[in-house]
Amino acid sequence: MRPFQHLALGALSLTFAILGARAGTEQDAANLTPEQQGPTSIPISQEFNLEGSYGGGVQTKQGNARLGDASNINSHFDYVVSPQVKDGVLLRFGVDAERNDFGFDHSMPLPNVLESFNAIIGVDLALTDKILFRAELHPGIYTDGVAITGDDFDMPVQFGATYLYSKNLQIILGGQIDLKSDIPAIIIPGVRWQFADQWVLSLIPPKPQLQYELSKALTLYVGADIISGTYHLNDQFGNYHASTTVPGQPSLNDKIVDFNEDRVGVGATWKFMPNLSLDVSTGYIAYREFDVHKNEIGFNHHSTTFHENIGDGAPYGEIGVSGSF
Amino acid sequence: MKSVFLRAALSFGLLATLVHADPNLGFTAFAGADLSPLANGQVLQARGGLIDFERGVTAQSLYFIDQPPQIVEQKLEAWNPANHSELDVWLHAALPLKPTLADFSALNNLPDNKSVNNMVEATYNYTPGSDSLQLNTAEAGLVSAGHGQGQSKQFIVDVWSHILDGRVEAFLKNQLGEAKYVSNSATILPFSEAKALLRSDPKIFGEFHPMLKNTPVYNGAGLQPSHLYYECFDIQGEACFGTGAVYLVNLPGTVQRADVEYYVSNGIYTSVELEQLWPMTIGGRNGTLVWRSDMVSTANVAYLHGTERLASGMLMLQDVKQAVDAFRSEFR
Repeated sequence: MRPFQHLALGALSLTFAILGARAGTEQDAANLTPEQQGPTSIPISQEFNLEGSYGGGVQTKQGNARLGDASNINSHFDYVVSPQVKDGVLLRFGVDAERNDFGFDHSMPLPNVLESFNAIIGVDLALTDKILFRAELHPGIYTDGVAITGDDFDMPVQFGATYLYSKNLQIILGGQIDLKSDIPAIIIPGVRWQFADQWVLSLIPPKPQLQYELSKALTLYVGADIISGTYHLNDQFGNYHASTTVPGQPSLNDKIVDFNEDRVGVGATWKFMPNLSLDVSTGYIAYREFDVHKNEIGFNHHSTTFHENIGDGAPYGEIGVSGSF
Repeated sequence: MKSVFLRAALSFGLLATLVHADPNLGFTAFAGADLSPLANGQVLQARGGLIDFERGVTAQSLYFIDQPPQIVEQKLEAWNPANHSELDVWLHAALPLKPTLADFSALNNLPDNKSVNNMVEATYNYTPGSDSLQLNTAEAGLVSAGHGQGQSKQFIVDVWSHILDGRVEAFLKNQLGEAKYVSNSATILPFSEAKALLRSDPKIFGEFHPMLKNTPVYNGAGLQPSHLYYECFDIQGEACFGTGAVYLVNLPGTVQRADVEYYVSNGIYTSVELEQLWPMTIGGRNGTLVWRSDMVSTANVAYLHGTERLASGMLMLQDVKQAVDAFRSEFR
């Protein structure tokens, strides 16, 4: 009976090994005496993601009024330490930082920067032999980078459950609660389906992809990339973004903005070390929106939206490195 | 010699003397578990949990078969997973205790499928020092010798017959120094892997060490294998060749079995499957309680961390359950 065919795959195909493991040595053999001893340490894993991208000028409108083009340099980093405190229970502690640096005419009523720096406090649980559950708090500063105050503090909650139907099919249900967002609670389903030896349909936000494994080290994909976040705008934001010809919009002061940028493109992931990957992608920014609304809980029907019309997008390019240890 | 006696005893039904007794599950993950659901076909399973072996992943299972232990044991000995297509085992064949090259002739009958073809390609594309195949230096020379001569089925059969035969011989002669996987990035000792797996659970180690210390796994030679085997099965879309030894001991009221696959050509380093059988009455039905532990060492597990490693253990349970279900289906 061979119950381990999947193990060379690695769980969820997230971490493929392409090189040999650390050697078992002659010394190992010498050390393997029959004494009985249990686990002596808590396994601690670490993971990180570092990615940066540039999106060209996207024509942005307020209603039907053209405001001009806005580019975006997005950079993101996260690092998580995950001790397995007992079987089936892993804690998660880390940091996450993201910055959107927009380039446009100063008079446009858009934030120059939307950035966040937050902690990650979470837990992974094996609820059953087929269900994994993750919950994370992300307390931190979500701001336009000007005059940081207590109003910039937010604590979104993210959670997700994975049902391991089989080694080829996993069903995911993820969600987020962010009381400052215009949509304070959202639940999104996902699926990862390896429907052929080299093909994987990974419909998992924020990066749903159709992947083709060209080799054990190289995977090609087409897919989408959703960049989003909820940030506080400073109490002079609307006043600042004015010029001699464009009046300020004080109504935008001290508001919350939900930012959303949807990209479609192609890319490649190169696993250049067993636990390190380089990801390169390019494509088109299909939609971008800044939804500015009051700092209150619940959906606001009177928000001010700056958006891109479909077809007014721009190309983007992204590069990233990720790893786990 | 003990196993020879056991096989003879099985043949004559002498193991019917095994008495129905409370199984000692204290060394397993199922100590104190309610066994009554097993009568309805349920398989209890447990992940191996935290172990001090980064390349290892383990799982335990417990199930019931309403047949006496001697029947279950006979079936285990004759079990051919290649008869169950869902297990992706392309070939599984027994070997005599002193095999010759001719005993590997079943390699001529491998199916013509993508998995096997990928293995053929891997053999022809093998570069000495690479990790694509797990070979020692001499074996690497054998494989490389066939390069540039065009692809032929006979070469594949010949080269893998020699490699598997050599691995069996080294095992039986306790020549563990030759039983290495050598590459530019690592030198792996499969027997060290097997011992690390066994030691990863102290209770299981304590239960089976009296048996295994008499096998080549622990440089012992007091216990002959009940049988040897070689096989070909799929790992991640590519076939691999493996060979192993099965040991049996008859203890008062129970039977212990260990299947040590000490050579695998790619994908995993080594695997150990332990089983213990007790006569048991559950829900008024007489039968056999089967405890099973699966232990696997593979490079990839070392690169799985956190939740991914957890998920890997969970998926392993599914694979084991599939294998158990296939085995139990032969009793219907």
